[in-house]
Amino acid sequence: MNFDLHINGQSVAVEAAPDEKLLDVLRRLGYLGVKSGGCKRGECGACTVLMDGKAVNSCMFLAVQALGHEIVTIESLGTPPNQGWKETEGLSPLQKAFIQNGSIQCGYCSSAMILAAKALLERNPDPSEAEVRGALSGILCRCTAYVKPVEAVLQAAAMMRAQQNRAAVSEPKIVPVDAIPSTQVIGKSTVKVDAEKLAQGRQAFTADFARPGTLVARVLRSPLAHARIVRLNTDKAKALKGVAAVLTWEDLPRVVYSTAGQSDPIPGPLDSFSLDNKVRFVGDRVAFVAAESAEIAEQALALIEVDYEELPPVLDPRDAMITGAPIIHDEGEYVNFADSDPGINLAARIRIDIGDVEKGFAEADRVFEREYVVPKVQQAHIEPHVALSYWDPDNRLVIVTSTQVPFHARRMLAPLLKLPVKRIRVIKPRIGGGFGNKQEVLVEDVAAHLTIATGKPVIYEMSREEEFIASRSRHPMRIKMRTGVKLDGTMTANEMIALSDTGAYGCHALTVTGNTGQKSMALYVGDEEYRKSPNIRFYADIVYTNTPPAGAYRGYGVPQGYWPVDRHMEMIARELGLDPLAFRLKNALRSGEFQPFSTSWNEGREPRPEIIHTVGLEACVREGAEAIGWHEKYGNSAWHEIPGKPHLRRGIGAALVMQGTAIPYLDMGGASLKLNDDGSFNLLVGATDLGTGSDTVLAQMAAEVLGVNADDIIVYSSDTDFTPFDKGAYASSTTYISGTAVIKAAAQVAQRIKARASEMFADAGTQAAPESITLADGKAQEPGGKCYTLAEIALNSLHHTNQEQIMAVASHVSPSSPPPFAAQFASVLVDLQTGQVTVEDLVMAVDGGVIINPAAASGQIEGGMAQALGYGVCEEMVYDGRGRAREKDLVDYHIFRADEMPRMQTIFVETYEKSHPFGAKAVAEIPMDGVAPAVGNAVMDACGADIVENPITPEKVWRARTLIV
Amino acid sequence: MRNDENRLKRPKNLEELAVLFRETHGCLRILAGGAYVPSRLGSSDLFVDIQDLGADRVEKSGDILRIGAAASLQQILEADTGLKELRTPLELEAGANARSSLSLLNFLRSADQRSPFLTALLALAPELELAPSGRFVSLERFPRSQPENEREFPLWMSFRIPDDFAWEFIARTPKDRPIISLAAARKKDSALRIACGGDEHPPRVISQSAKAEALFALVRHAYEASGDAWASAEYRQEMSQVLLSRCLQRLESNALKKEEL
Repeated sequence: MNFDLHINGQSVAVEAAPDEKLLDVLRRLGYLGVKSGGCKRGECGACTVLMDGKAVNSCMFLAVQALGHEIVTIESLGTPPNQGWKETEGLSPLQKAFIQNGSIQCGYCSSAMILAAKALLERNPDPSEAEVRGALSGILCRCTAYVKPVEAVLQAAAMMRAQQNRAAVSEPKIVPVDAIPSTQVIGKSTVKVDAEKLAQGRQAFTADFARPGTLVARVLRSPLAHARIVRLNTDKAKALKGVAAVLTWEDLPRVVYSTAGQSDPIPGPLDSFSLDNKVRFVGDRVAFVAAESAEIAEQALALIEVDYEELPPVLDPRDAMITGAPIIHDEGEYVNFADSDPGINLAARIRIDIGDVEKGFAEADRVFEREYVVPKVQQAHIEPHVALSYWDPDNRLVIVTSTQVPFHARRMLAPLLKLPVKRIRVIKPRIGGGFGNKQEVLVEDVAAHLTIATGKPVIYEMSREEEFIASRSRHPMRIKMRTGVKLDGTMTANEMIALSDTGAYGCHALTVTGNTGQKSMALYVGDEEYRKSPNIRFYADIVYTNTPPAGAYRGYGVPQGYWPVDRHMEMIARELGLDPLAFRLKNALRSGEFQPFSTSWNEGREPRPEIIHTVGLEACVREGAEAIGWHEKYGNSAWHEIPGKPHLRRGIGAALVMQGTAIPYLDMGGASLKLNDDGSFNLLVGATDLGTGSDTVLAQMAAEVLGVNADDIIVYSSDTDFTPFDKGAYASSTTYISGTAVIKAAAQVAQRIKARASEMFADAGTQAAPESITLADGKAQEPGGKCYTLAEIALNSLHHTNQEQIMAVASHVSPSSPPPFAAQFASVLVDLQTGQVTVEDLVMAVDGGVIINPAAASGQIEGGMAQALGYGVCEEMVYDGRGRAREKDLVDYHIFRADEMPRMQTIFVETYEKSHPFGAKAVAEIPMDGVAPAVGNAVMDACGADIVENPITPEKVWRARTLIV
Repeated sequence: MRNDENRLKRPKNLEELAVLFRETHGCLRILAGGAYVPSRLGSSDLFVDIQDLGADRVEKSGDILRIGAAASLQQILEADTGLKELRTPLELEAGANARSSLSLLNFLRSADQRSPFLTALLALAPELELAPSGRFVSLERFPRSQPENEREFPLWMSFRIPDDFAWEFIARTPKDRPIISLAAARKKDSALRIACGGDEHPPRVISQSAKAEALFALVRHAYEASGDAWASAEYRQEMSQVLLSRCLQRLESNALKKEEL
């Protein structure tokens, strides 16, 4: 159909299929600020545009329905004021506010939020916070918890009313407990280096780079949980006009691999194929199709004939190792890692004994035992997995992909594609959220195989349903806790026995579950003589089932550990009549002590004992307790009761947690830095900013060393052809590992600049040794006060005398993994009759070392708490008796909306971690750990319901209450 | 403005609409603003966009509320319906964008069994005025799926605004889909009407002027086989009693307030 649409004040001629969505047409026309969340059903709101001034989902309208209406996209709002010689009106107040207050994390939903806010402010210039939250309620954000976006809208409204140009940044509270050296750029809420681009909806994400003529890939997925493919007929599909390729297992080289994006050698079994003759879960791959359009590709999928021999599935992990259980991996190519044994459906096994656990139990006055259960949950990043592949003119395969691990992806793809690493280039543009799910190589091989088959560019983007049924998730576990305690609260022994369900494939099976014990059980070592020699046991079996594979998810096994550990601590404290905070602190790890697991386990490698130097836990408890009003509320019945509402009761709870910072002796990051003619620098890093702000933080660290502003550092990440190696974004490592690499490179460059400046001073008659020269304010200054700008030094080095490119490359691997610590607090309101829980407040006090960028770091904490809140109260993935998923969309899988968030507060307790040049540790994963147990403890405080299985649903609370009554 | 006259029509009145139905023998698709996954189209299907028919309004006339098929859920939420408690099920149904995108017609076709707004509507006993026939059908009898061929579609929905209306629900979070929801509407001259929803069965309606005890038993009975992956039947049955009690208290309280006024 041919018709005209009115877009951003202009009439645009459109040729569209009758059933083509407005979203797809707008993107095809180049309005790339309109994003797809893969649902095409109005679930996520990333595709928001304004239609006649109202915020609507462009995926819910056919393009023809927009005929006669005024469409506004983010592209119409504003651009930076200085476009070379051309001055513009600049960015809109909303864009400015979103940029300046740190609202933009991954940025995938930012355009949508800005437009929804624009619609609100045009009809209501002075909205309340509730009205702002209501206006944003249709746009799901997995990064921000909506805290800063809501503030930004209120700030923009104020700016527009008062005609101001700048939004105030609300900084988190920072409480230094160590002496922190003075810095110029570190510790400042520098605007994110990519925020301006994202606030304009510019080309940034993988799908934005698809060119006209790119083939669209789709994957045929298994309807059965366990079956052999006995016959495939693709003739009809191949004959369909517009189909370029149909691939099945018969077409591809049979190469066994693991999808887990980890360092070589992969610490887990190799048990996957790009396509196989067996399917192992509902949603497993059966065939790939590339076609001229998505519609044709989907029609082709329907034409593929598949005969299955259905096999009995294993759906409950408790059945996986029973004698006679169906064997999920019977392929001859399976490669074991450590104790994996496919003959008994065992993907990995962990046995760790620290000290003398049985002696510790024998010495206890009381031994507490209980089983806990944690669910399978989804990362639910708003940008789906997406990869675009094409041959470049030099016959090298280019893969543009939304990945956390570009270098691992390149290494892992090479054997699958029968290409040497040197003929593969992986480009990582902006990532629209990943949370660990993009630490998997899940889509790149699909696009690449189809490009090899067709010779043409291919894009493969998962649908929202595929994200739920066929990507990765948090490992669900059943965990038995046994803890020996003396009556004074001294812990004598602690034991965790976990049964972890890795699903159909063993990606991250060993390392995720290892973390479950390593990071949670290590927090409590006991007191007095037990503190010197803790008694800790952690055993785990990680088993295969015919359910979608689990994998990496922010927190990487640790949230699974803290639900049982902290709920258990609460139960023990209450049983013994101890103060719950004092009991935890009495037994918690302290500075100067060994991380107990470091003496016994190292993910299948040789253990390397590590002493923990910075522990801000007591300060975290003190600050968090004060912020939430713990001492006024805990044990105060007047606070717990709601006057006039006897069916409601308040409760308060806490949980203490620790995470890790990178993987010692393994994680390596590299950086290269070069000086430009004007005194600016190009910083090239392999690290991948998936919305965390790591590019900005890396720029700040380089700027601090070089004495320039952060915006003088032009960051590029990442491209396997140009940027140095980096293991990727995982394990809370970028600030600590990649950051130190950046600092090392910057230090080398600084040294070269000083040497050059020294020569320039000498030529001008002033003697100044390089080490006497300081770099600040974009200048090199000698002790007498004379100085050269970095631009002058750059011109000298590049053009005038003894020409050289001042640049450096550095890398870093750490012998330590200094854990961040935190105290998480929650207050809840429980309906005693129905069991419904409403979380009212979340307060987190975090020791993440020195905070490099408070706005970015607090954004991490807020977003993490919101994700963890879902883990606590509503998120879970449930399967029926045939392995079919209950949750296939963002309606049934509920993630928190802007209009239902609890109040949130973040406090940073700053310790100075000497193993990092600026004292930093990490903040990215730790907010995932404490919310669920803190809420569980608060529910118990409110009504006595002692929940052992999260999420804490109304029925569980009601049943627990029924037992009490 | 250019458009493909062969595929897209925007009738200006019901007569033009009727002609299109006659000429195409129902091989057409009604577009009403907002579409949840339109079914695949035939190559010759005609698009009939009803946005010029004037059915994009929410009208209140006396105690009758009339909502056009092209009115969005957000329009309903913002309209002065006299039913403040209708806001919550609308807010639970979808976020603001989706509410602005979704027309009543497409909501009626796409609402699933657990839909909170559908449960609320059913308590209000709406009638649907079908076009082009002009036939009336109750919402309870309206099939909620996209038909293969359009023979007729609801152009208007109307109901008498009850004297009292109450809505109660239980969900995992404040804006999650309810696990159980109950809506109760009472009109002076007719029975209390209760809709029971939130499970994987279509919402059930109980119209009863019997005493409260019988009402509680009927509501409990409505959830007898309601166990699903979201909640057990036992829980829902117990909660139905709590929610019904709250609804009745709300109705009583509202009635008292009105008397005081």
